[in-house]
Amino acid sequence: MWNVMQCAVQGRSHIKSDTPCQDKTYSAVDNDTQVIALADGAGSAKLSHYGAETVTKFICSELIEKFDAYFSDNDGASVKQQLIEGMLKSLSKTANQLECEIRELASTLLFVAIKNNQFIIAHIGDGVVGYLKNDEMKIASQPENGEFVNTTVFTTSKDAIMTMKLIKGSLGEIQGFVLMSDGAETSLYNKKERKLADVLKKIMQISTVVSADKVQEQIKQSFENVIIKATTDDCSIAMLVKANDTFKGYLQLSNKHKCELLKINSVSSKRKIRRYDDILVYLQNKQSVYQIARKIHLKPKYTKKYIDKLCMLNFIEKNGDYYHTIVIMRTGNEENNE
Amino acid sequence: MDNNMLLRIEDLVNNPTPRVPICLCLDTSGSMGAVEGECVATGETVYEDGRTWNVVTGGTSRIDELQKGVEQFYEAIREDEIAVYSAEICIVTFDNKATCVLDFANVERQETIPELHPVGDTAMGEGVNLALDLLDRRKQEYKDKGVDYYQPWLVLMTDGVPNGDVAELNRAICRTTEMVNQKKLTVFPIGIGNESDMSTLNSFSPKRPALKLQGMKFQEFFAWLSKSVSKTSQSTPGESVKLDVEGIKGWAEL
Repeated sequence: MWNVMQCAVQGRSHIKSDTPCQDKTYSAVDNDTQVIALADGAGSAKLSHYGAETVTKFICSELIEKFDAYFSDNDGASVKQQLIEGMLKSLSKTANQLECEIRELASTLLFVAIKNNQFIIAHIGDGVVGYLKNDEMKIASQPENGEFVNTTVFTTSKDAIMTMKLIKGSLGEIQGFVLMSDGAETSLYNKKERKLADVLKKIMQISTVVSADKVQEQIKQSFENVIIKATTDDCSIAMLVKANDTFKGYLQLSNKHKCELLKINSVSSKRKIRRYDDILVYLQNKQSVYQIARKIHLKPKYTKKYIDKLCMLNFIEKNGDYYHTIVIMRTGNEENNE
Repeated sequence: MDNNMLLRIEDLVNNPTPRVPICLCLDTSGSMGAVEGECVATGETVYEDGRTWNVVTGGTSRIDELQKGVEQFYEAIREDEIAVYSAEICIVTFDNKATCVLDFANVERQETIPELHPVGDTAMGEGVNLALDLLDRRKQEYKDKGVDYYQPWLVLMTDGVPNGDVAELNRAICRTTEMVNQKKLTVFPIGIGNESDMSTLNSFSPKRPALKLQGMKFQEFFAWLSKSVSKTSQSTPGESVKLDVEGIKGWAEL
């Protein structure tokens, strides 16, 4: 099973001009197939947010339906042509409904589809497609910009097929995929070194021990408060992350594994691990620092250090003066060996 | 606000702000010393820039107004939260020769704008060629350092008829029009006063006519220019920036 997390937030210039968020993300799942798609509507096209929505929805249903046919077709040019034709057809329908020209619906497109042990990636325009393999963030597809930063290729461009990237392969050791628009790229992709920010790995790893809904909520909060400050553009991200099927909840982990998650020295005393365990268990119901300090028999100022560490690790959340655990303590299907 | 965020500022990549390289290519020939307003003739004459001039006292010269306009342009860019980090300005002057009086840098580092002095002839071709060379060099520096950039701008301002090397002038016109046609350059040729050679200025601009500045309205022009820089520096892919030429009709004649 793979988890999906996605968000798209309106950029500062669009907030100012009261223009809708032109970045759209969409995902679909059906039996063994999962798809995530992201599109960034062209700044110059007034209705591009409808175009971005149309292509992301189209591509998700298309790949759910025809993954095998596309994957087994060794003629990449033909696959590109079929995908672009399908997109243009669905954009044409939207254009008819909106009574506009198809170019008014221009957007970029990035998607990843997986089925069993296979994947398909496609990319038109700017934005980045990355993946996590053997605990290392890697790039699958770079942004396709023209010479100037405000030029790129769109789904409706004549040369879309010429620059469209199409990749397929076996999932193997791949632990997750990430799609991002150029707005998010500003903060999460080092253009000079062509490297993705390490924090993406952290998010993917956290999503294996914290519920995907909670991670998505925190990503959205981060985008709204941090990421949009680095750019005036809309920002979006979509992630598809392999769940850890062996994870039965934090409480079922070995001390060695807990040390890895808590980022503490593996030779640390069992007492230290037990202290973290006690706090996490106690915070299944929200509590203040003073309540926690009383519970674990430690002065508040020392207790706060444990609390801060757990906050940094995103294992607990703070609301006002109260903290509560968000890391999954028990999955419900764990063996009862306590 | 509670800090429950997965992405903290320290986790983010710090990419440089995309740049808008702008070269102001300014006529500083003797004719730019021409004065308007209340002035008194001294009775003396002087031959410069291809003609004889009456020497006067008082009034305001074109070069003084141009200087004020450039300074106001810098001020406006410095006050714009986006443009201040994206605009990079270089100033080339042309009189008997072309000179780069201020090389490309972030505007915050360009604390002093060099004083412009009217002297000599109008080597416009040499000026434009130097401006294009500097823009090309700056683009290469961006590429080498992985800095994104927008289409460069060339602002050409003159009040007279070019009287430098003809071959240099033709080369400058060829280079500029080719770059404009290939969408690699935005050019603003601006004529100052009634004696500016609009037909030569037009030959630099294949897509839209050169603009003629009404009277001495330099400050209005530079205010418009800084707003356009601001708009460009916020544009996103696909957004070909529509420069509001209508908005400058108040100060210019098309």
